[in-house]
This record gives sequence, structure tokens and C-alpha cells, in this order.
Amino acid sequence: MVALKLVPRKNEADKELFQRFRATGYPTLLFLTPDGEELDRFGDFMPPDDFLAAIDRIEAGDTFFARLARLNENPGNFELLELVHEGLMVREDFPEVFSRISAFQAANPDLDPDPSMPLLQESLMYQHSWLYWGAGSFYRNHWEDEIPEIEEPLAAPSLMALIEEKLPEMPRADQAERLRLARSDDAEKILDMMSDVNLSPDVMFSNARFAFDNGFYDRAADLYAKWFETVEDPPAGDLNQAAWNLFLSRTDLEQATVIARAAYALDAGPSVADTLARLLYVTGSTEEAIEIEHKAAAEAEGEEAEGYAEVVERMQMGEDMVDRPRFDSYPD
Amino acid sequence: MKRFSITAVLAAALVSAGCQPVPVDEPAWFAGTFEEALASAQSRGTMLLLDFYSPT
Repeated sequence: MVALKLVPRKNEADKELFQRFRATGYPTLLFLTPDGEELDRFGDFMPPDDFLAAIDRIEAGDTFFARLARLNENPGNFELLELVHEGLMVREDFPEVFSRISAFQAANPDLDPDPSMPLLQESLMYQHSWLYWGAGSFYRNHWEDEIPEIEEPLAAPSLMALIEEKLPEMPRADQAERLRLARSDDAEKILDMMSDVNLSPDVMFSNARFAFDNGFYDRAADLYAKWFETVEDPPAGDLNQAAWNLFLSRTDLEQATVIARAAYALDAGPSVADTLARLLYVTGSTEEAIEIEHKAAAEAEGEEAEGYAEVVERMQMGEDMVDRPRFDSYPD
Repeated sequence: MKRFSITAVLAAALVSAGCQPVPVDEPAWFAGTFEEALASAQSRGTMLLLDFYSPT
């Protein structure tokens, strides 16, 4: 195998390749035939063993495109749908995602529960985040760029209605308010697709995060609590993220502190320690908070260490913790 | 959250996929343009891996 590293943000030729291959973010790992035809791609970091297994699979001919061809032959096969779905999501090919799920459902009209529903919900969440991230960028850029045609914007009917209403021509303050409302409306529809009970821990976790990202802080807190009750051996990173989101939204801080302690027991690294320390601080355990934040500052490096040292100072001065969820200031 | 170094992962993967082991101070990455890498892959009849990354 010949391997080439490309840095589109620093090199024009690499940027042209990034666009030519329709890469959607970093990292993107693209496997090509010796003739330059795409075999498969990955859009996330993965553990070494998984990566080696993926290379073996591609070399054995079980590529994304081979799977797509098999799904074409058998659109009702859920195992194939799941595999293809993953590949389509890396490509952010939402029209194709929705079309494949629809074909699966047509081939399996009587399935209850329908296993494709979590895939559909995940796809809608992704498209929703993607579209509202884009809308926020256009808003901040004062609509200087032309709004592109969006194919199959199933996740954001309220946003599409706003664009129909000529959102860019509305008063600036109205634009921000209407965008936030539309974002919440569309997010709630996606969250309501499935009841919050009987979800798998993985789905609960991603729904909790989506609820948090879109301002449904109480709902996120309920989902995180249920997730924490049911999940087995969660990684410290997931625990830390749950505790951090609860901290930012100042929701269910008692539960958040329990989750943060569980994360800290698994990994006492600086970012996990910082979450726990801040939660202890806002719940009144100032002495322990300062001690743990001190450790975070001592173990971290560079700007991260400076940031934690500033938090220690704020705690010693008795100042408020100022961090808030990003949604609260969307789209600014 | 703990993340694996993609460089380390790729280095292990490249060796496993039959690339020649290289000294530690000489990365296993192709030194050249995309066209040259593609020509090299073609002449060897082997896969080409492109890693688009963004330095932090």
C-alpha cells in the first residue's frame, strides 16, 4: 500500500483533492484502487485492531461499494443496511440514506419494532446538526453567500419554511430568534420519533446529547440519568461528556456529580478532573473542587494548563462559573 | 476523551499490510505529490491510501 498524507488547510493542491473526492471533514481516510477508484473511506479515529481489520476487509473485496451492490440486490437486509448506512453517513449522503431506509421499510412492512428506526433517527439528527450549523454560518456571514439547494432536507422542515419566508430579509434580531425556534421545533420532532423508554444505552446517549445540543436540558438530564442506570462499563469519555453537558446546562447537578465521580474513578486526567471540580464547586464543595482543579492544572500542559489555573483562581475568589451551552447563544 | 494517534495506527497498519519496515526517523508516508503516489501505486499494483488531516 502507498500512503499519502494531505493537509487541505495548508496546501491548495491537497484542498483540490479534498473537494474532488468529496471529503466531508477531518480525518478522512480514503482507500483507492491502483487506478485511483475509491474502494472505501473512514471519517473517524478508530482503535488499531479495528483499523487493521478494516484494511483486511477492504483487501478481501468487502468494500463499501461491494456492500452497496449487495444491498441493491437485497434492500430488505438489515445487516447490509447498517453497513451501508455507516458508509453513507461518512459521505453525508442524506438523500441516499433516506432512500435506502425507505426501501428497507417497504421490503419489511410488518416489523415491530422496526430496526431501521434508530438508523433513521440518527441520520435525521446528523442532518439537523449539519443544516443548522450551516444556517448559523450563513447568518453570521450576513447571508453573503447564496443559499444552496438542499436535497431531501427531512430533518429541518421549519428551517426550509423560514428560507421560503425569506429569512435573510427579516430584521436581524428576528432572524436569530426565528432560527433558534426553528432549530428547537425540528429537533423536538426528531426526538419524539421514538419514545424515550426502551431505548438502547447507545441510542439514549446520542439522544441525550442531541437534546442537550438543541436546548432541551431537562429532557437531556432524564436521558443521561436513564443511560447511566442502564449502560454497562461506559468509557470515561462518555461519562465526562454527560457530566459536562449537565454542568453547562446546570441541570440535575447531583446526578452530574455522581457521573463525574464515576468518570474520575476511571480516568483522573485533567479534562475529567476539571469537570468534576467545577461540579463540586457549583454544588458547594469548594475545598475539594479547588484541590482537584489544582491537580488538573498541574497535569495539563500549555494553554489547557493556563485555563485550569484560571479556573482555580476564580474558585479561590468565589466567582461564578460562566460557561454555558452553545445553544444558548445560537446562531451568534 | 482518549484518542488513538492516527499516525501510530496507520504505521502499524502499513507494516501489517506488507509495507517495508522503516527506521523510526523515516515515516512510512509517501514523499511526493498525489500523482506520483498514484503512479507508484499503479506500478506496484497496490492500494493507495489518502489521509486528509488537519493539524491542530
